[in-house]
Amino acid sequence: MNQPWRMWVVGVSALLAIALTAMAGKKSDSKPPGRVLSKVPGASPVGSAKCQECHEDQARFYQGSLHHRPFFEGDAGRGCESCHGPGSRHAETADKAQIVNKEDLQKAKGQERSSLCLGCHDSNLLAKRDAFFSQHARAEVSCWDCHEGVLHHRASGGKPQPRMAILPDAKEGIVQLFARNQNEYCYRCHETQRMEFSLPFRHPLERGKMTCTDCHDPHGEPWRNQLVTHSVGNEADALCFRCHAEQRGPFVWQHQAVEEGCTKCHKPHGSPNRRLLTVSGNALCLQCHFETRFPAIGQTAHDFKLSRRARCLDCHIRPHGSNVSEDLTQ
Amino acid sequence: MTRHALLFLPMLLYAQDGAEFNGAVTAGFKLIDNRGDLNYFRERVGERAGLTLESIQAGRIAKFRHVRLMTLFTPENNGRVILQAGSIEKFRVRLRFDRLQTYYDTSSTNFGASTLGFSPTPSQYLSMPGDLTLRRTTATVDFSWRLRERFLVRGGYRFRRSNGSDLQLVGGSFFSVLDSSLPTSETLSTFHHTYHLGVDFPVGRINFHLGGEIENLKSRDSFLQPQIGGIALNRDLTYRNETHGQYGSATATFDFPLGESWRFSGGYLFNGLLNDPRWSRLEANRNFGYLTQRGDRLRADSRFHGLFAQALYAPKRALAVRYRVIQEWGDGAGDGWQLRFENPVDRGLTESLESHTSFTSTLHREQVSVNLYPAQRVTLKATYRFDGRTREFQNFFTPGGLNFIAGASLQDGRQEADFHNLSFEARIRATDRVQFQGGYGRRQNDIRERYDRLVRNYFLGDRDAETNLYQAGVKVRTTRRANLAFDFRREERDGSALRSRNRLEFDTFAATVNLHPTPRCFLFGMLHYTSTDTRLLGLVRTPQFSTFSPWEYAVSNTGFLVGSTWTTWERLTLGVQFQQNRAGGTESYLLHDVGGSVEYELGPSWSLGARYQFFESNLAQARLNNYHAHLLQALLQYRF
Repeated sequence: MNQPWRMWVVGVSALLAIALTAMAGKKSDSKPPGRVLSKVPGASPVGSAKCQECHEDQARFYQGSLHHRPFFEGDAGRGCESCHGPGSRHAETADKAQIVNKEDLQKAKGQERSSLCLGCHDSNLLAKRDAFFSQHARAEVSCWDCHEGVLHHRASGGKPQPRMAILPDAKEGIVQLFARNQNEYCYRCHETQRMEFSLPFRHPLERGKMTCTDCHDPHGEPWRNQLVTHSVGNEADALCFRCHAEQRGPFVWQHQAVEEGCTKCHKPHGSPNRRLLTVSGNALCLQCHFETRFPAIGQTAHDFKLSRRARCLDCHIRPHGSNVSEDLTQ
Repeated sequence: MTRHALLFLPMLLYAQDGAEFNGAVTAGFKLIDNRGDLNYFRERVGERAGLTLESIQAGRIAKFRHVRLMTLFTPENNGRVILQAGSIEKFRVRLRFDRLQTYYDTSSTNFGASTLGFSPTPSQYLSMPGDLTLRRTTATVDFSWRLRERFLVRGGYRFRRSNGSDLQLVGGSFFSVLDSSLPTSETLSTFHHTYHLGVDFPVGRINFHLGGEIENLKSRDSFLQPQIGGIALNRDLTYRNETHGQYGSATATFDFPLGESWRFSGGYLFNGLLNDPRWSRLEANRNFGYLTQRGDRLRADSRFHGLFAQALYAPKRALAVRYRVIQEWGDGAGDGWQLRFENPVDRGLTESLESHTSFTSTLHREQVSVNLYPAQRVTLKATYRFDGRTREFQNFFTPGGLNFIAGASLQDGRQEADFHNLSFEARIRATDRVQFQGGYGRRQNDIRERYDRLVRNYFLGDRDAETNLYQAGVKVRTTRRANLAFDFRREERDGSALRSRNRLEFDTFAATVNLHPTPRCFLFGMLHYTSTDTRLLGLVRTPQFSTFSPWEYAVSNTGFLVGSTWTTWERLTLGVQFQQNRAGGTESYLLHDVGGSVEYELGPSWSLGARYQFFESNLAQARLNNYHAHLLQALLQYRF
C-alpha cells in the first residue's frame, strides 16, 4: 500500500493543476445567468424603481427584507431584473410576454433558476461551484427550492419569513403545535432519512433541536455525503467529534473500530438499538472479535462470562478508547 | 433557558421605535404523569414537566434592517439564537448560541428482578438505575469583512462546553449483590475553544481560500469506578482526569475553473493533536488486607499533514467525471510516567517507571466517479474509491502490564489496511410523476497485521470483509396533492477474523404517503421495516459442555406512523398522530406514541392550543425500564 508511486500521484496532480492554470485560456468563472434572461432581445435594464410604479405589492414585500438593498438601492439590472430580466420593453408595452414572467421561471430547469441567484451571490465560491455540479444540482434542486422565503410569490402570507423559520408543511411532530422545522425541506426528497429519524433511537431532530444542516452542507461536496467537515485524520468523523468531543481522543489505547469510522458501529440517523448502534449487545463486538480460539478473545477465556450472559460492555466500559488499559476496561 | 430570552430585549426595544417587526412567541405549561422508569423515558422522549418557553421567532426590522434575529427554539432547555448584523457586501457579524440537552439512562439494559443476582444467567455487573444528563452549549461569533470587491476576510471564535454527571450503584452479581454494590460516579466536563481566520481572494484565474484554525480542547473526565472481582473480592477505585487538545489545524485550498469544462481544486491540511491524561488508582484486596496505590501520567503528541487535489471534467451536460486524490502523513510520540506504592506486604517499596513510544501512519485515498446523462430523464453514476492505510508502532506493547509504561519488554507492530469501494447508481424519471432509482455497491476490506514479536494478542490479526449493498426505490407524485415513495435497501456483509467467518445482513424497507385531499386537510402515513441478522458459528463453552454452536443475533423492527392535521374552519385546527414500533427476535419491545392536539386562533395575534400524548414502552428483556406516561400541555402563542 505504501508504494512511493502513490505520493507521486499527489505531487503530479498538484503540478498538473498549476500547469493547467498557467495554460488557461479565457476567464470563465463568471458565467452569465443563462438563457432565461435573454428571452426579450434588445431589452435593457430600467431599475427596480420603475417596476415599483406598477408592482406595489411586490415592492412592499421586499421593503426591509433580506433583499432590501438590491431592490431599493441597487443598480439597474439588480433587484427585480435579476430574475425577470431587463424590463424596458415590458415597461413600454406592459405586455407580460415582453419580460421573463412567472411561467417562464417555473419552466426553467433547476440549474438555470440557481444561476439567477448566483448572478449576485457569486462570493460563495463553493456554493457557486456545487450549484452546477453537486448532486442537488443534478437532481434539479435549485436555490429556490430551499430558500423560498425570499421569493415574493412563494412566501406564506405574502410576507418574507426569517430565513430559518419557514415551515410549509409540518409533518414532523404533527401534534406539536406551532412547530417550525427547516428539516422538512430535506424530507421532501429524502423520505428514507425521514423514516430513520422516526426510529426509536435517533438524533434529536424533532422540533428543531438539531437540523440536517448541522451535519450536512446542502452546498457541500457530494463525495463526502455533503458533510460539514474538513479535516485530516478521519474527515467524516471529525464532524461527529464537534459535539461528541469526549470520544475524540487520541487515546493511548484506541479502539481500532474508531479509526475505521464512527459508522462502523453507529447509525448516524436512527436505529432500533440504543446508542444508535447498528447491532445491539455482544453481537456487535463479535462482528470483529470472533477469533479462532473463540470463546477465548485475545488471551482471555470468555466462555464463563459469555455463557452467563455477561455483556461485553459490562467490563469493557470504554469502547472508544482508553488511556489506562489496553483491553478498554478502565 | 428562559433567562436566555433576555437576549431578545434589545431587539424588542428596537422594534418599539417604529420599525417593522414580525415574529411569534410561544409559551406553554406541561404536565407529565409517568408510571415506570423515568430515566429511560427521558432518554427516549426528552420531555420535562413545568413551564416552558417553547419558541421565539422574529425577523426583519425595516428601519434597522442590518440587524436581524433569525430564530430561537427552546423546548426542554434546548435553544438556538442567531443574531446577525451588517451586510455581506461589507462587514457582517453573526452571533449564534446553541444549547442541546440530552439524557442517557445508564442502568443495565438487562437489569431486572429476574437478573438481580438470583438468576442462573445474570450479567456480571448490574448498574442500578442512573441518569446521565449531558448539556452541550455552543456560542459562536463569526465575521466576514470584504476589503475590496473580491477580497474577503472571514474569522471567528467558537466556544463549546459539554458537561454532565451521573451517580449510581454498580453491583457484582456473582454471589451477593448487596455486599458487592458500590457507588460509581462519572463527571464529564469538556471545554472547547476554536479560533479560525481565513481569507478568500482571486489571483488571476485562481480563487484561493487560505485558512487556519486553532482548537483547544480540555476534557476532564472524572471517573470513579469500583472493579469488583467476584470471588477474590478485590476492589479498585480509579480516578481519571484527561486532557485532550487539538492545538492547531490549517487549511490552504485553491479552486479555479479552466475553460468551460474543467475545474480544479486542491490544498494542504494540517492537524495537531495532544493528549495528557492522568489517573490514580487505589487497589484493595479484602482477603489479604493489602492496599496498592498507583499514579500514572501519559502524554502523547501526534501530527497529521495532508495534501489533496481534485479535478472535475464536465464537457457537456451529458458527462461529468470527478477525480480526487489525498495523501496524509502522521507521526506521534508518547511518554509515560508511573509512580507506584506497593502493598503493605512489601511495605516501603516504591517504584517509578518511564517509557517512550512512537508511531507513524500514512493514508492514501483515491476516488474517481463518472456521471452519465444519456437521456434527459436518465442519470447513471459509477464511483470507485480506494483507501489505503499503514500504521507502525514501536515500543507499544508490554508483556506484563496493562499499559505501555509498566514493563521494559518492547513490541513493534505494523498494520496495513486496504479498502475498495465500487458503486453503481441509476436514476430514471419515467414520467413527470414517476421516478425510479436503484443501485449496487461493493466494498472490500483487507487488513493485514505484522508483529516483530507477539507478546499479547491485542490485534485481531489478518482479516477481510466483503459488503454488498443493493438499493431500489420509486417515487410517485400521483397528483399535485399526493405523493408516494418506496425505498428498499439490503446490505450483506461477509467477514472473517482469522479462520472463523461471520455474516451480517441488514434489510430496510420504507414507504411514505402524503395526501392533501383538501387544502385544509393533510394526511401522512409511513411504514418502515428494518431487519438485522447476524450469525456466527463458533465454539461455545459452558461449565457443562463445549460445542460448536451458532452465535446469532436477529432483530426485526416494524414501525408505522399515521397522522393528520385538519383545519375545520379558519380558526380551529385539529391534529392526531399514532406511532408504533415493534421489535422481535433476540431483543423485543413494543413502543407506542399516541397524541392529539387542538389549536384555536383567538384573534389575529393570539392562538391557544392544547395537546395530549400517551407514551408506552414495553421491553421484554428489561422490564424495569418499562414506562407508560401521559403528557398534557397547554400553549399560548402571540404573533406580532
